[in-house]
Amino acid sequence: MYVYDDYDHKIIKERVAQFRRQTERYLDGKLKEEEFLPLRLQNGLYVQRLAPMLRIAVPYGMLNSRQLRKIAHITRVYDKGYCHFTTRQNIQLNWPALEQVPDILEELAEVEMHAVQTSGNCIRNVTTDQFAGVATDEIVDPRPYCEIIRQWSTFHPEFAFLPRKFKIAVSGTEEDRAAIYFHDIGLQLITNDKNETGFKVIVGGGLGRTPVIGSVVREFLPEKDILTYLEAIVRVYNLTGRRDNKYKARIKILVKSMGVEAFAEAVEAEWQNIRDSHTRLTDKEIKRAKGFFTAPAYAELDEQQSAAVLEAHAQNSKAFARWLEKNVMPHRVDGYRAVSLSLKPVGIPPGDVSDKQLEIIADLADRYSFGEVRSTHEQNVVLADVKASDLMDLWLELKSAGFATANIGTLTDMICCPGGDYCSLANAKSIPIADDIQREFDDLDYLYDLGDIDLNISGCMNACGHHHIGHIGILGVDKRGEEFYQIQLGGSQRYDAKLAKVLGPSFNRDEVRGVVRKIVETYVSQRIEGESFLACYERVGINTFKEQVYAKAS
Amino acid sequence: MPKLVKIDSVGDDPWQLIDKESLPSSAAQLEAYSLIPAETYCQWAEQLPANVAPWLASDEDVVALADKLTSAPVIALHFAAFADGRSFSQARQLREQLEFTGELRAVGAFIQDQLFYLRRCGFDAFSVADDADLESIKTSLEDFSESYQAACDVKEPLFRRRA
Repeated sequence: MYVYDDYDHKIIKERVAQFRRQTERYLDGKLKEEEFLPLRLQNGLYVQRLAPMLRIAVPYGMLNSRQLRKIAHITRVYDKGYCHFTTRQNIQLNWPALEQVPDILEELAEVEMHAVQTSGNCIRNVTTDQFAGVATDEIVDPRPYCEIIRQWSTFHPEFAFLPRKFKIAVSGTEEDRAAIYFHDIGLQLITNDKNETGFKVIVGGGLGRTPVIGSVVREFLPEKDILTYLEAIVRVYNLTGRRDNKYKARIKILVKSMGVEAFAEAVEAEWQNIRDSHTRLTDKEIKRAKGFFTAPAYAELDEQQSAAVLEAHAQNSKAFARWLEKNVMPHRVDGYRAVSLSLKPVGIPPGDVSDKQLEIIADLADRYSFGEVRSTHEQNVVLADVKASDLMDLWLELKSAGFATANIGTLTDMICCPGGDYCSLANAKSIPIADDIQREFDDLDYLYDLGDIDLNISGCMNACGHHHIGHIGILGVDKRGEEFYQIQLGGSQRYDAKLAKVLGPSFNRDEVRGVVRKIVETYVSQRIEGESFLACYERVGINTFKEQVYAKAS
Repeated sequence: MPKLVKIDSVGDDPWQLIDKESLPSSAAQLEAYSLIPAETYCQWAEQLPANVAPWLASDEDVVALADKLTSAPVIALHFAAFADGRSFSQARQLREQLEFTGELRAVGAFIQDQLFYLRRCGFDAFSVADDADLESIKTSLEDFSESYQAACDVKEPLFRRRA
């Protein structure tokens, strides 16, 4: 994991001091509301329906146990003893007091954390695969590049007042777990036939009101050119992106209106001016960044022996076997596994954790996984380096802490935004819908039989809950002051990126659980041996689902 | 009178921004300390009296106007709204691509809290209201003592300077 040096510490401390001065000027009436707005947003501070909300950055999802304990402390002292993991791998506090935010930021800085650029019209926290460095299908570890991009984008003087927010995701695996086709810039790490590392560059993807699958603007960009090329893209966007209408201001609209080729040419022209500048990366810097993400001190273990032990445990406990299949991922190192802690048990809003639970996660990380954890964009937490021989002990501890729901990847492992309960933008509540569905599908055997289904819920068309790319997407809409829910089917967030289609007229809250039940039953009746929900949907088409859902509803 | 804040000094700002509608019909009628639209500045380049300089709106292409602009002693970039960040890129293009070495002035609705970034992007003069808190402004100009990226103030990014 990246470790701050004196420079990083100094920069973050100066940021805290700057925001403290700005907050004081605001509270003294010397800084206008509308001028303070972007300043507080770029320090993660929203003013929401009930209270301010502080979004703390978790750069590319990496956390250590010391940081988790600090977050636990902060939730206790400054908030109501819990926090929320977001769909961008960050952590949100729902009840901080505005005047205490500088103190919170100062506490965070002590453990090399901050809330920099987690909101506002700037380059946001870069995200990646939660299994980076341990995935069996990894081509290149994305984390060193994420850190390089983090530093480049942090307090970038030219790009703090962009037309709109700007999100970058990096993936280094065969399967996309970072949704790179749905970001302003998606970067896929690849190697060419000369075994050189580079990036496939995808621009102009996004969700929100106008969901768009990103376009490839460059098939292979050598690794050293990444920062200059990013700078060229963002400069073209900064100068030519629309500023007259915030709903047309994302880069996806610019790329669509210019056309991908013309956009790529404009970037190329700008890039020629700066590609050989000092911003071009050096071997030394890439090596330095990689030096922070080396393998921890793994034990030498026998994979076959480890697998046999797990098999024996699984024979004895169906519950353990289920958890093993759903929540445990293979690892590139023999005898190790990556474990997902489910933050989606029945009765808890997806992604919410208490201060005590944060401390338990920290302890488990110290004892089982080299003191590190990752947050995921599906709003779970991962212990990435656990010995297979420890899994039974870990599982027992996770069960008592409430993290062992064996539902990772299933229907009840939902992505869900905070919705109308917290968010002032939302048209409808989303947490109660998630709760209804969790209660409707609490039979693990049934869930298990259904296989992997992505169900995503957003409380409004801003799409923080990624409803467009769920296999089943649920969107909260407002109809004459009442909350309704539109159902969409067939989205995918992987490299085979697809946008979901609207099933038909929307439903009221009480109907949603039944509609999801009918969709699932349609799948069960239509599927052929071993066919996933998405594959079945694509084969039989949306009308089959439509007929079932609306026939029975009338 | 408004103040002109420079990196290490503060003085009065006698300059007036003249928009298209208020331009006189010929260059000879311009008063000293006039900032005039860049397009007009380029057209009248040969006939301009001393102490007249061009200003650009954030939607103008600095590269297209470069030929006649970069010899001006002063260029002003106008912020119609502080959230319009295009001038940050215009400034870097002027400094880094067009090698403009004169004074680059921020005028209009920019705010104090942007000063550090403006400075990094190549601005070295800032037109502020006459009642501005100059002490506070000086602090904002120096919000950070270190930066990650290369820009107009520091040519090498931190990764090339790290020990």
